[in-house]
Amino acid sequence: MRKIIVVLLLMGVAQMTAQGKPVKMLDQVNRDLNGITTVEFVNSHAYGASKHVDLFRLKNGLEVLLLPDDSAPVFSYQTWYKVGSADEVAGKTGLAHLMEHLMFKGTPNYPGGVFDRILEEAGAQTNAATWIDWTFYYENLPKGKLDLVTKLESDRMQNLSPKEDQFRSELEVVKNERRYRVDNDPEGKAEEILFHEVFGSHPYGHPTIGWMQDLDDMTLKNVMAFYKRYYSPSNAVLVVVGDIDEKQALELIGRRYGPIPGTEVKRAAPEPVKIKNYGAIDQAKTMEFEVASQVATMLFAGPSINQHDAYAANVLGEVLFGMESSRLKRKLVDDMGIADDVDGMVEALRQAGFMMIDVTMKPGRDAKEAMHVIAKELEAIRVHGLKPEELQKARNLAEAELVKGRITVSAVAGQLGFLHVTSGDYRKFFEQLEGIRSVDNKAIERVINKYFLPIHMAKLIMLPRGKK
Amino acid sequence: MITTKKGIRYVLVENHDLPYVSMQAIFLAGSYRDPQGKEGAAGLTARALLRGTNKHTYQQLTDEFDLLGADINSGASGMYSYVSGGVLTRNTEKFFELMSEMIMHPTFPQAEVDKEKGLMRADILHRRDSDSALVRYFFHRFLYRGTPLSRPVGGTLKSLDGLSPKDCIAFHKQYYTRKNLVFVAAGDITHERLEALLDKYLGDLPEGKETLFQAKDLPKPKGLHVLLVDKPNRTQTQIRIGTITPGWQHGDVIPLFVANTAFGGTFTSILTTEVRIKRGWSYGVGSILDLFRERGSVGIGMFPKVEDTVPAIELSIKLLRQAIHDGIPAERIKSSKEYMMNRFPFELETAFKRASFEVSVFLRGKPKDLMDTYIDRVKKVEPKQADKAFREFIDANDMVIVVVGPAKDLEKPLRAIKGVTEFVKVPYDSDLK
Repeated sequence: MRKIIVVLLLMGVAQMTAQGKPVKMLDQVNRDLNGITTVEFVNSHAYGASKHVDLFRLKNGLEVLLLPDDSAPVFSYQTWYKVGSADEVAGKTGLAHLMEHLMFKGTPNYPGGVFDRILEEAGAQTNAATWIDWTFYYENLPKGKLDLVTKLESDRMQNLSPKEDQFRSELEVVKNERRYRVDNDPEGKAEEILFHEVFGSHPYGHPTIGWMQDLDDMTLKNVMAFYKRYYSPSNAVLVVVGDIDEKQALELIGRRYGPIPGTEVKRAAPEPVKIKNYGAIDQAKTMEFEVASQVATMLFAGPSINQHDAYAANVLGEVLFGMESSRLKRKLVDDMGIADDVDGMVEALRQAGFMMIDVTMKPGRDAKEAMHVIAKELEAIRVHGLKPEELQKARNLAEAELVKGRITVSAVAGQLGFLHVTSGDYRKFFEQLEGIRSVDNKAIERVINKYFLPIHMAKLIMLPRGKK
Repeated sequence: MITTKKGIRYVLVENHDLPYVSMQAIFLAGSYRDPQGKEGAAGLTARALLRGTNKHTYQQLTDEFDLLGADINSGASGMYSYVSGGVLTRNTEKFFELMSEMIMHPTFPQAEVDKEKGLMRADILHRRDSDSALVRYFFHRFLYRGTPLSRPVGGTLKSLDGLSPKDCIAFHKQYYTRKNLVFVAAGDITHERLEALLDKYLGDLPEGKETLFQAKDLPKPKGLHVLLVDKPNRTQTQIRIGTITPGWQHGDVIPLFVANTAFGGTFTSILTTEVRIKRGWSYGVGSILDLFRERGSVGIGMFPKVEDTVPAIELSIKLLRQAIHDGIPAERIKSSKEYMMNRFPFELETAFKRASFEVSVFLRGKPKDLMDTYIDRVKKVEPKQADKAFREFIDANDMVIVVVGPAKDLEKPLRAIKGVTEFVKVPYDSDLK
C-alpha cells in the first residue's frame, strides 16, 4: 500500500513538471526579479484533485511553501523559524519565547505599535507561538493583502530594534504569562517538573517559557544576540496557503526577502535522549498544590517525528486515553469509579517525542491506584496485543483527526510549516494517513518495549494542599 | 433556514473539499429552562443522552461512535441543549442512526444517570483548580444574580443531589421536540441527502412547541459591586469587570461593537496599550461584548500579579470613564472599523462557521440580513455614534467586579476602591448564595 502512495506522489510531481508550470512561471519570476535574488524550484506535491503545494528556495536560503486555494477569500501567511527553546543554553532559558514577544516591538520603518495597527486595520488575525523546536508567526488575512504582509514580515526579519523600556515592560508580561501557565496552574507545574526529570540536561529538559530566575536575569543584549544568530532567511520557512496568485507571491517574496543576507546557522548535535528507568510507583514524587483531589501525571520519552514508531505511539495514545471508549477512561472512570477524568497527549518532536497521561482522581482516592492500572494495561497490551476492532477504532479516529485538522487555511499552513521545520520535509503531511493505517500489533508491541514500559514512566502526584 | 417535508428546520452549508460532515442538533431549551431548585437539569439530560438508548448501552454507543471515527458530544448552555459531532462522509448514515437513537429514545438508566451526576459533581470540584474557570463562573453568577441566567449549567452540589432520571425524562419530553429543533450541518453532504436523513431519523419527534431563549429581565447594577473569591497561595489574580448592556434587538448595536473594539477588542486597543504594552501588568487583557436578543453584557478581563491587581482595576475603570466622558479618538474608531470590516471574511471562512453564523442570527435575534450587510453597517458608523453608544449603554460607576485571589492581600484595598457600594467575599471552594 505504501508503495502505491509513493508512486502516486511521484506521478503528481512528474505531471506538473511535464506541464512545465513551475518552470515557465519561474523563468518569468526570475526575469522580473532582475537579479535581486534567484528563486529555485525544489519540489511539489499534489493536494487533492486540483491543487498543489510547491516548495521554492531563494538564493539566501529562505524556503517558501505555497498552496494556492481560493475556496474562501482569505489566506494564511506564516513564518516558521527553525529555532525554539531547544536552542537555549543553561542560564538563558526562555530566550526564544521572549524573542517572539519582542518581534512585535517595532523597527525604524514601523515603530512599536505601528506593525500591529497596520495589520489590524487590514483585518489580520495575527499572533505567534514558541515551542521546543520552532517559533512561528502568523497573519491570517483577507485576499489582496500579500504586498502588505511581505513588506512587514521581511522588515522585522532584518530590522528589529526594540528599546530598553519596551524590553522591560515585555519581560514583565512574559513573567506574568509564566505565573499564569505554570506557577498558578497545576497541569503546567506538573509538566515542567516531569519534562525536567525525563529530559534532564538535554535541551528538551527546560521549560520553553524559561525558569523565573533566568527571566529575572535576562537583558536586551541577550535577546538581540539571539535574534542576529537565528533570525536569518536561511533558518526560516515561509508558508502561504489560501487565495493567492502563486507568481505574484513569489515575486513579492523574492523582492522583499531576496536582499536579506542569509547567514549559516551552526548547531552542535545534541546528545540523543536516553530512555531512563524510574523508581517504583510507590516512590512516585509528590507535591502539594491547590487541587480538589489527587492528580497523577506521567511522562514517557517517545519516538521522534522521523521515526516510523511515532505512528504507533499515536495509535497507542488513542487506545489508552484518546477515544471515548479508551481503555483508561473505561476502566478508571466507568468501571472502577476511582477517577473523574483521564487525559493525555502524544507528540513527536525533532529529536525525541513524549507521551503524557493525566488522571484526575475522585476525592479521597489514591493516585497510585491509577498508576498501577496504567502499568497493568500497558503490560496487557504488550503481551496480548489489541483486539482488531480496538485497533480499527483507533486508526479511524486518528484518520478523522487528520481530516478535521485541515479545514481552515491557517490549519493547513500550520501543519505544513510544522512538519517542514520539525521533520525536514513538508511532504510528511501526505504520508501521515498511510502511516496511521499501517500500525499493527507488532508496531504497538515494539513501541511499548522500546519506550512505554511502566519502568520508563516518570511520575508525579499533585496532592490537595494540607492533606499530605 | 430551510424546513424539511416533516417540518424540521435546518441550515446547511455544503463544502465537498474534505470527506467530513459536521453536525449539531440544537434544542431551544438550556439551563435557562431548568426548573427552580433543579439547576443542572438541562445539562444532565443532554449529557445522559449518551448513557443508554432503547437499543444500545453506554459502552456499546461509545464503541460504535469510535468505530465510525466520529466525534460525539452532548451538553447544554444557558440558551440551548445540543448533540453535536462530526464524521467521515462514508459513515454519515450510521452516525445519523445512532444520533437519532440518543435524541429520540434515551432510557436514562438510574445507574448511568448517577455516574453522569458524579462527573458533573467532579466538574464543580475541579473547576476550583483553575483560576480562569473560577472567574468565568463567578462573573456569570454575580452579574446575572437573581435571574434564571445565573443558573449554573452544571448545577450545584446541592441541586445535583436532588436530580433523578425522572427529571431527565420530564425535561426531555417537554423540550426535545420537532418545533424546538434547529439542525446545523456543514461539509460533505448535499441538501437532498441531509433532508432525507433528517426526515428519516428525526422526522418522528413529537411536534411540541418552540421555547426560544429570552433575556428580558436583566437588571443593571447600580454602583460598584465587588465579589472577592478568596483563593490563598496565589501569585496572580483573575479579574472580570462588567455590566449589563442592551441586546441585538435594541436596534442598531453595531456602534457599540465599534466602540468596544477600540476600547479593548484588539492588541492596540486603549486597554491593551495601557495595561499590557505600557505597564506589562497582564499577559492577557481585553473587553468582550456578549449580546443576546433583549439584553447582553460587556466584560473586561485580565490577570495581573497580586500586587498589581487593584491598580489594574482602578486603571481600567478610569480608562472606561475617560472613554465614556471624553469619547474615543476618531483615529481609533476608524482603525477599529477597518479591523472589523476586513476580518469579517474569517467569520465565514469555513462551511461550519457560515452555518453557525446563520443560526446565531436566529438564536440571538440579530438582523436577518446581517451576513450581507455587516460590512456596510460597520462602515456607516460615525465616531460620534460610537461614543454615544458607549455613553448611553455603559456607566463606569455601575459595574460588577469579580476577583479570584488571596483575600489576605486584597480585601482591604478592594474595599477601599472609590465607589464600591457592595463587597461580597466567598471562599473559592464554595458558591454564591
